[in-house]
Amino acid sequence: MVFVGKIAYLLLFPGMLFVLLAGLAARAVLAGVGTAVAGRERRGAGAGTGFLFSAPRSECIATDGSLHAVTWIAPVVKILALSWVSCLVFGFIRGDLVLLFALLLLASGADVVVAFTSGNPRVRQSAWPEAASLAAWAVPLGLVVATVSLRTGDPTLSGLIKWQSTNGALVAAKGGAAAQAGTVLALVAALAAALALARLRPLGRGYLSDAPGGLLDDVSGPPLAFFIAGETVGLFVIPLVLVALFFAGPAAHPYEIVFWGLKVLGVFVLLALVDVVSARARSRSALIWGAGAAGAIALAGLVLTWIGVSA
Amino acid sequence: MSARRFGPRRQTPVFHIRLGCCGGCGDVVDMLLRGRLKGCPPLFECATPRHAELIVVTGLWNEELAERARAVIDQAPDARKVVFAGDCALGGGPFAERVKHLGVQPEGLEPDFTMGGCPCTIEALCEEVRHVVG
Repeated sequence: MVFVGKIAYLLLFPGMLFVLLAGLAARAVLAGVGTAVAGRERRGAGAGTGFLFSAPRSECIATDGSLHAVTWIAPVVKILALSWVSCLVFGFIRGDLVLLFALLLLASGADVVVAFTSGNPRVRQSAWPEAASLAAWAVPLGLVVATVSLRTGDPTLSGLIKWQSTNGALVAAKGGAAAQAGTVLALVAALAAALALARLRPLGRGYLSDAPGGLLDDVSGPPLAFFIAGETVGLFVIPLVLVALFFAGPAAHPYEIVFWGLKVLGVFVLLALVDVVSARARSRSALIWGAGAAGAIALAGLVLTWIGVSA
Repeated sequence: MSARRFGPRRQTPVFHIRLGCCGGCGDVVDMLLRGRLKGCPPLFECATPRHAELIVVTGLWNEELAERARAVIDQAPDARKVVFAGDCALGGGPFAERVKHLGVQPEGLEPDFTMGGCPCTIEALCEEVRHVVG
């Protein structure tokens, strides 16, 4: 019975259905931020939503033989992994920060596998950039997770949220200048990692906003809708993870839950703004400098936090 | 400013095949794709024919290009619509007498809609697109 309950969490709330609907709302916000900043409707901002509803009805053109199955399985694995992350953050399924990191790695790794196994040489060309994009967020976020665990002394997600309920949001919690500075640096690195993870510019490789020859060039029909759904889900889950790591607080009362929602919205609007204003950033340069800087900042944050906690 | 402007809107993915010529019709299609005409259904240019719901062909046909254009159109899902835009794509136009030019639309490649003009006008193309995408 417990198992069935967990499956229901994973599929309905706060799993797949919930994160998909919340992701659609995030897409609307992304389009709105683009409109507000650019002064007019950005063509293409809502493109993904269209595929989400039209692609399931259209034909799936298979060219890769048995490997074509990967294009069906990978996006589903991604959506499941991100739904699981949402369940972890909401506390419906227990897990620690290592599991959270592993699930995010699984979600992002699914895209890399698709690129490497594609029968289309243009898509295979994008496999190494995809892998580089994965490294761009995985290294900083790994260090950030270590920083957060070190600061709170608790590797579980529920313990982290409880710690923040008692001591205040991690980013503002008292605990020595070095530890505070380390946490702020970790937040900066986490924001950069979130851009790459959510496939937002300049560090991320958006499915539809990137140059031709990208991951989805060989995908059509229902798998295309699954991929877009995976990207949509990520737009909500990744800010949610950031809020849980740095801005969490109590959520016992309805107004506190609304406040959580506002924090997630605030973080997402910040990410969307960076995405919109860096629309013309050269992706390769941005990836190298951004990933390098984020890794260095995260490492500095970890060292400072370690010094602060040890003192 | 209406609230609708801030929400994501259904956009039709379009794949544009430029066969090459003076480029006038191609520019008209580009203007349409970039939303230069108010009131036109929202479109966006997709990177691959696999995502296309509408394929617009502009320019002169010759044997080699016809073969390749057919290969591209074959990659699109069955539900896609094909529009030949401009006199050149319909086998006419001021360059119709050129060497190697087929002079007619290639066999086995039937468009769903055609639209003449040299170049085709953006208003007429928008009207055609509206019929195609509903």
